[in-house]
Amino acid sequence: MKSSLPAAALAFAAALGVAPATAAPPRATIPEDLARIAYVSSATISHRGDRVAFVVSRLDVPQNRYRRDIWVVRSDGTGLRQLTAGDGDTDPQWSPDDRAIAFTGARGGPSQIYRISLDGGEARRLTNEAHGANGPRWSHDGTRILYSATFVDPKPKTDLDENAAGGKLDAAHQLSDIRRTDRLDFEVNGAGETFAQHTHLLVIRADGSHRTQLTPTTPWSESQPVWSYDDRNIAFVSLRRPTDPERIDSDVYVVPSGGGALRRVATRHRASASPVWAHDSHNLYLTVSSRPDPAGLPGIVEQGVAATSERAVVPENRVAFGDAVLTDMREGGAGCGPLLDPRDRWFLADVSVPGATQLVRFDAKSGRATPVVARGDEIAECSMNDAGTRVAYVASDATHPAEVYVASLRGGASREITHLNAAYLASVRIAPMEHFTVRDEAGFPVHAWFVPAAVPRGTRAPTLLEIHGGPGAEFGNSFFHEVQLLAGRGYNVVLADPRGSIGFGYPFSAALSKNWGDPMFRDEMAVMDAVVKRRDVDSQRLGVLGGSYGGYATLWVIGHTHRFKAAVAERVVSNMTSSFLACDECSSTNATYAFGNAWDHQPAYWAMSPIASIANVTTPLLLLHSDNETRTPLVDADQWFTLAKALREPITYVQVPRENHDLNRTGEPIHRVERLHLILDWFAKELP
Amino acid sequence: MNRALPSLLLAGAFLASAVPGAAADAQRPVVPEDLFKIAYVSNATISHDGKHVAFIVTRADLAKDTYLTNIWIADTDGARVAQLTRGDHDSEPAWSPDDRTLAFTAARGGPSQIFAIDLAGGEARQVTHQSEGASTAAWSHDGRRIAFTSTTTDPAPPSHVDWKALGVSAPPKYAKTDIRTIPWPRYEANGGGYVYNKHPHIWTIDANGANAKQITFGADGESGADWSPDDRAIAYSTVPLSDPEGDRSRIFVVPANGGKPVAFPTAHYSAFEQAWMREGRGLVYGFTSRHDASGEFALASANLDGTGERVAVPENTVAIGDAILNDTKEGGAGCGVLTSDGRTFIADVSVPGATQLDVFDMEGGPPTKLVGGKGEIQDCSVSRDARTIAYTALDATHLAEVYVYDRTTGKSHRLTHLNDALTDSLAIATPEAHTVSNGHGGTVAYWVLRPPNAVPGKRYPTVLNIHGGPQTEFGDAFFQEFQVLASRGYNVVYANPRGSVGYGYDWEEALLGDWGDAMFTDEMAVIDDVVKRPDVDPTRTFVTGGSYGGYATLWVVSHTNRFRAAMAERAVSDLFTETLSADFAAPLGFEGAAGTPHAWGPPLQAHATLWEQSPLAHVADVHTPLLLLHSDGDTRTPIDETLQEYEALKMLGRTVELVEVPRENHDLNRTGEPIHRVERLHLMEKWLERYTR
Repeated sequence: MKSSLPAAALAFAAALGVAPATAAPPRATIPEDLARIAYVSSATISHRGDRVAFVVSRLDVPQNRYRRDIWVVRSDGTGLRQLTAGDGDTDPQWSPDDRAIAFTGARGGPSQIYRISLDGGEARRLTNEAHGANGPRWSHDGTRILYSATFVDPKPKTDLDENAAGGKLDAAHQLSDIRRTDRLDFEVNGAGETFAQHTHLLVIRADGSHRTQLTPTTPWSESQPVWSYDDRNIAFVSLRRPTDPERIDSDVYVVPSGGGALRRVATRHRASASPVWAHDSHNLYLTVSSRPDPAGLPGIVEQGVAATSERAVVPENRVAFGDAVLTDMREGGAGCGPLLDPRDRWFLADVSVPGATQLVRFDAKSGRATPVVARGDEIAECSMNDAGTRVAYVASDATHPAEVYVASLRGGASREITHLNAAYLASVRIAPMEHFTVRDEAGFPVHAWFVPAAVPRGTRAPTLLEIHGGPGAEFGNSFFHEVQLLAGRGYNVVLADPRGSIGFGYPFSAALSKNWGDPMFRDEMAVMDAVVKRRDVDSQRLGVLGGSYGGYATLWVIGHTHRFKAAVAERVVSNMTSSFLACDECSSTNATYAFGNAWDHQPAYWAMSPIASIANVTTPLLLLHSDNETRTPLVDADQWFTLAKALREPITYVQVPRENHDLNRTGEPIHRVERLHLILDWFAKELP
Repeated sequence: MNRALPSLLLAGAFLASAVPGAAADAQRPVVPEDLFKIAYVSNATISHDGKHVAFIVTRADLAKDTYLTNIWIADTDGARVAQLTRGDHDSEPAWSPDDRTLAFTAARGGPSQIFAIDLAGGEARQVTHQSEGASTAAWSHDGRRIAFTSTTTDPAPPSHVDWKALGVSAPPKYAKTDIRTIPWPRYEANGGGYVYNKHPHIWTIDANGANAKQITFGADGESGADWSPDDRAIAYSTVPLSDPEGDRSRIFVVPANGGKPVAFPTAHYSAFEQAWMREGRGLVYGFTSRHDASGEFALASANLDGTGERVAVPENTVAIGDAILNDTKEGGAGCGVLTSDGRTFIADVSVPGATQLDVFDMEGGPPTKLVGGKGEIQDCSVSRDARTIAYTALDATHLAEVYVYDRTTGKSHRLTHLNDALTDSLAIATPEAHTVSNGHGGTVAYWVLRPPNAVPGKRYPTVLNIHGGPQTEFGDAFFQEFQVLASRGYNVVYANPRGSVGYGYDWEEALLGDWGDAMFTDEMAVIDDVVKRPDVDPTRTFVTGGSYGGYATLWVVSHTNRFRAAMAERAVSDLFTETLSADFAAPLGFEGAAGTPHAWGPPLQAHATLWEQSPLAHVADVHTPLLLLHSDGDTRTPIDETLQEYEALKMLGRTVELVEVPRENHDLNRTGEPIHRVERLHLMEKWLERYTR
């Protein structure tokens, strides 16, 4: 945990014209504080390493929209300025000479690629893609920019014979709006029905001219494109196996940057992704998975583009690459790396460890891991300068929302170079997270945190257990507005990483593969057994809440114990059969790997479904679901509600319109604020 | 799934018998686009003096992709048939007691309102000006007032945002929350969107448009307003949405000038569709004694204090109502009216493959058939002297038209010929009726519709169509979809397996708790019989159906590979999820309450049985190429039902395609946007054609 706010930050805030925090005593956080936080992401260091571009997002609640812009700061923390003002700008990418930044701008209409000079002037638009462009990537010589564009299949003509109908179709009815597909991956959370949308790769000159489509217009999409160092080839990821029901089976392909045939990189693994070019432009580092295991951790191999032989660098199920820490602060953040050193001796990657993420250096030959930045907090994203001497990253801890940091890879310390939330933090009371562990019945240490309620010393406070989603994710040392809000309102909050969580080794993650509910339940209860012994906990006033898998878990918990007096379950899975077969990533979650399919293993599916135990429930429940969910379809909330009413259980059912699975992370700002009020009001009523 | 309460609606009537066929020269095939050429005739509403019939003509409009609905008038002596209104969204005609004025419901910019038009001439005037609209006009007996329904929508609560904390005042656009707090399971209605916050209440208004007054209030909704003979009270019924039983209706009587409603005391599980007896001493009503989806309601009368009940039609003896499926509805309509002498009741009754008009003595005893037993009578109305009955009727080769039955002569005559020119130009196929033993002591009725110009000796591909409900029946009614397929060279086979209405309570009840197997046995007996025919190609058979028929299609292809391809529409794949997530989800489950002999029981306890009877449990046995079609606004059978089957079949690597139709509900093929309906028929044709070659 970090020390408290440095004085310099306050001075900085004052310099920005923010009202001095000393004017009023700190207050408890409120839902509307979502609008006061600066959400910092996408820290991208310049090639020379002297500057960092990043994105600042803010919620504009009265306008019910987000504003996202690109900012720049020198690596020493000076010279902070807002660079773009398009309010829909993301993904900054430095030109090789560091004099310009390309970015994705959503400035009315579909997003396009823009570039802006660091020497002054407004951004200019480089693309004009009908359905949007994103993800600019400069060639190493700076002459070209690669990007992704969305292609939408033309709608078929309305199938109607005007002569036979004796009339004419109106212009608005010339094309059919009936949707037809034979793909399994036909819809994706937040993106709607994607079977008719495909992402392809294009290249333009840096001035926006000479648009060339690199990958053909097919039903398949391409992602994660990377230039080889000689700029002759582009490696990318694609999933082009129409007959394979296991959707996670992506492959890495290579295409010449001037256009040409696609070549699959022939790994012997079931799936490969995240290509990184070696500096010789012949070899690739890839993440690989050999089994469709939902708890599986990819390994890393080095492989020649043309060769079938490979060299294993990091074995599978050993290292949890990526940032698995879950909060309500982030819009995605997927970790970072591998970032390859200029001489291919090592690479740097973000790795999830218990309750935190670290930047770890891996020896490119032996795979030996050495933590480089390991401060016990959450590192969401990172980038490295060309010389491999310096990284910029975004990090957050329990008492600090994310800011930009720069670290020297030559033994120097990390340094926080932005303080955009300093003034806010000075104005509110922020509770610490106290880490503790308990040993579960399987012998695993279960990591947990206690966030004390803002109540007078010696008071026993009502206590809420928050259960995370995933289940392949973890709670950790990161700022969590919702948790701060609850603590500020007088609730102790308990966060735990039960079996199934990521960052605690493969066997711990895989412990749910025979039963989705019970190991989690035992671990969470072991944590609560320890918590209720505390003198500041009122064991008669316990609540439980969670979303997604955490919603499943909440329903499971109240069906198996009466110790909680109030519950909030969001975007639940209540019936394993309907949830896993009607969701948008049923097969990609690979439930069948763990549980078998629903038709051959129905008794197991039923036994794992919280709804099978609904008759045991006495806990008053707030059931909250978005009505545009495709990840955990609304049908699971409906089923639970209907039965709960039949059993005359205390329940309040709330539906949020137009939202998908990410209401609490990327939902409409007003809905996000209202959701928090609903939760606060519920606990105020049920845990008085 | 047909969940409308059994309805006995307006006035009495009689059935059309055979309508003369058309000349056979230069006839062309029936095509999907004929949807735009058909005049859909309905709601025959006779004047009290028996001299005129008001009715509705609906036409599909291609350019606007909508329906134009207007009121027409026909004189019962045949002298005149003319269009009366031209608002294009006009319905629910109601004669004033003096027959000089017709009240109706019209949407003429803004929500629908009650209008009145003078039969002597002139345009309609608007009677109500309700901000949330008005419908269902009912005249008081003295003709001075009109009762109508207007829906009250609960105001949205203020936004939960603390705007002050943000330093702004609430933006007008966001001052109210759009987050929904759902109070009970039946919070949506097919085609009606969210209904949990909408309460249809009864109002009265002077016929001249003055003194609009709300009569009923509260968290539920009221329907069926009926004035007492002295106009001092109004009877109505209500189904409390909060009732966990889900389908329990209650009757109330409220002073017509407003006041406290008094419950009509009854010991029955559910009572509904009330009408005042003569002199206002009591009510006629339907009742059921338990939650039973396949039950047939009883007809009874009693004094206002609940005493003196006389059962005219015992429960589960007569299928009152029109259960026949056609392209415009899924059964459930029909008619029923107490004659003005209060002694008899005239109603539409479903019989094998047809409907008929029966007269019931309110003192009990067997009914007397007036007309019918062939064709379908969709609705009816009765003159004040009960001598003349107007109705609309159709049969397999004729579209609905208006008829009048004269009880004095015992004869019907047709008043309208709006579709004659069209049907004369079409090569319409005539079904052959057959029966076959199901091997379990039952006889299954079925029909074969052959291609109209079938070449003798040639074998044709054959489509088995399984009906929805399951509490409906196929019968002697024009079905455009069948005609289109026959025109394209298919035999179309359709049957009334166990579960169908019109063949007695036991036949209907036999499906309960055995949703898949009983139907499968009967449908397979039919197809076994059919493939023996010399005009059927047994190697090219197909199966299709919607709603319960979609369930049945999935069940069939899970249990036999005999069909070349299948198309399942708005299917149910998983009975547990359907039971608990459909818009009519009653917490006790839709077949589950106590007392029904073959019920599944409450869904939680019956999970294993529900699963075993779900097509999804048998999905691995599906090898038939399958097209799954579902409307994305369907709340009756939520699209998750189709998605589950689709994703399972994709994971199994089977041949399956998914079609989603936007903005449509459960009634795509009956009341969907006209272009979607045409496209659906083409899609069906082309899917079959792919596997016919």
